[in-house]
Amino acid sequence: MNKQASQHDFTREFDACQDALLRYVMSMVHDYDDARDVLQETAAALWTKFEQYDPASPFGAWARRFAFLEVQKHRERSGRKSRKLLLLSDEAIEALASEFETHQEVLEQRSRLLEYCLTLLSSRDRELLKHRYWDKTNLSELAQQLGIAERTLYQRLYRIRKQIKLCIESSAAREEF
Amino acid sequence: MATPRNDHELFRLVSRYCDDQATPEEIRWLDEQIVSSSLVRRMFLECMTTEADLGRLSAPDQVHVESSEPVAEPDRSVPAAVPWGTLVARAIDWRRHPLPFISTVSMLTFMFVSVLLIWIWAQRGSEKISSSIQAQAGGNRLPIFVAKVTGSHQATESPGSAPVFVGAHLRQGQTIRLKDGLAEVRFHNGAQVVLEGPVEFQVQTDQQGRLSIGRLVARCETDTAKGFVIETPNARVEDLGTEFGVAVRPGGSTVVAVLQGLVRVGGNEPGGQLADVTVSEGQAVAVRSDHGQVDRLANDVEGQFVRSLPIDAILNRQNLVLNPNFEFVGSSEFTNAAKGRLTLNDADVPHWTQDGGAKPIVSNPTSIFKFSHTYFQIQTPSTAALYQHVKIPTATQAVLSMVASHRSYLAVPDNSTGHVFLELYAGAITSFAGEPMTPTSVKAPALSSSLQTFSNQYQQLPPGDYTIRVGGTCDGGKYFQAGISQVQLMVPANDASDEASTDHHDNLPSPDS
Repeated sequence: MNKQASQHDFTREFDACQDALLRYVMSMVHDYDDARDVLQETAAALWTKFEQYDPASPFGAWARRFAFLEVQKHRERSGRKSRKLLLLSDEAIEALASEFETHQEVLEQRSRLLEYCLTLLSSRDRELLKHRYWDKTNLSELAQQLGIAERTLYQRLYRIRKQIKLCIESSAAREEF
Repeated sequence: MATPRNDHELFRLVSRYCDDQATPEEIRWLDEQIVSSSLVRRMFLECMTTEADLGRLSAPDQVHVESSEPVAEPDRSVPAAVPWGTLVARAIDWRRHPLPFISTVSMLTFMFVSVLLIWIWAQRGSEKISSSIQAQAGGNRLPIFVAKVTGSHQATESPGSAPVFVGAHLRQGQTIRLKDGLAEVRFHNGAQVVLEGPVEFQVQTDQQGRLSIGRLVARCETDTAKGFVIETPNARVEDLGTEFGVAVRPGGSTVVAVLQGLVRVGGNEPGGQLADVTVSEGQAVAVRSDHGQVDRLANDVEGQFVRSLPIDAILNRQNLVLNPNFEFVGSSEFTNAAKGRLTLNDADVPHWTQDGGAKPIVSNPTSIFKFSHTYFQIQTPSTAALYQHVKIPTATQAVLSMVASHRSYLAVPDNSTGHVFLELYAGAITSFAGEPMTPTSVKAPALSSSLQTFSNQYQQLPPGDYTIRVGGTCDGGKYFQAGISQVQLMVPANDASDEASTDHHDNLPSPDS
């Protein structure tokens, strides 16, 4: 495979699975920014090893093996001071990785439904999610800005997550029909 | 700690964990449960994957930006100096790579904006879900982006206008109001509209816009753009594969001039009295404000529309011309070499040589996010840079002007410092131990959350070889990430001369009079 064709294929394969790969990494890393970093390292690793990839096998599974290694490396690199990276034990991380494999289709479906469920949130809630996940506003600052107690803010985030969870689950139940 | 007794409490704990509110004791408990209970594992996984998607989807602009030249079909070979294997493929985080936009300082940058197609997140996934989302979107819950500002020139926004800067995404229903100047908008279907202020133009769908006042030229060159519609207060102009100008006069009448191809002009009310007429190239019609009739105009109004962003006009006004003798060496395939200008964007990165830094310049050959930022991740103590050799072969005493836009994205730890730079060196060099030419490196500070544009001008450069180098340096802390976009080199004409006329406000034949 020449380099350009290879790049073409890699781009296509990686594009198709990158969101799923991010979810996989996130399931072990638990911090969005860290997860993005790991995903980026994974992309680099995948690209350098792409010639070894067997097109007959699923790219996603192949990519997850690399992602798992990158998660490990990231945990080693980050040291104890890291945010959430080392809060859980290696054992728990491995258990999560293996659960992900068996549970994958459901997680994919949930992800699709989430996009729909987000549209059902009130604009206020969407705004809060934007602050929380996009702007990364510090939550105590955000609480101040909104003129509410921090505790209330966490409560609201919890309620939004809960609402999303219920929406996903009820939509999934509807999809069964 | 109260151990969760049911799913509800467990979910609450995981939510707290997501917000960094769980106590070490609770985390320990969670850890044990993850190992021992598949139920807990599942719930935890579901929460975390949802968190990943929320991070991805909660962006204000839930869009992909794709280059019009898909990376999937690379048409430029990668020079040996920059093997792909050494470039770190990055999956781009939107938060760190905000939509590229350009401040008014770099008014020329629109020239370099590649054609971007925008895909809406909401349209991904299953048809079923997509259509649900589309249906929901009417409630203003999910922004549906249908167009993008691809150029602006001396555009002055009126209050309430949608943002008019290069790269701004336009939602369905947003209105651009310009007091003055020009803006170019590209619809997702490929149609392109050049708006000339004063103008009021609403982006209605990805197939249709509404001109309330002012004038525009629409160009529909792609198959998908065919059928593009411009509505005015009293008319509807439908493209039949063409380029056409539309003007709405203050009195409410509409003038349509077909510059190329065919259009269909009719009333804007279904079942209205106005019969459709087909207007062909070189013809112009006026639709009177009273819906009465369509008049053929004898006058040649074609020349009175601004058909594209007037690059030449701008260059003339700025007394900048693209010097045809300005050459790039090092890559004969350099995208813009023939035109004597140089840009640095992702597509061009392979044509630059990498310099410095353990963490190399990062391009983005792998991701679905293709954007016009080049992204540097720099670890202390190091520099990451790209350079390109250029040649000025004529006896012209050139003046080079480099403009770059940059934003710094992330520093670890937060108080890390760094800067990005633009440099010019005499000679075709590959080692940068010496000082750059004066004015020396423009250094823009790191960690500016807003996009900054900075520039450097070199006066009276004698002919010869030069090397342009752009990059970033981490000065303290662990690392920081910065993006530089759209480095440009312009070679102005030697002598300042009269400004070209900027007066586009000539007189269209007015059916109102």
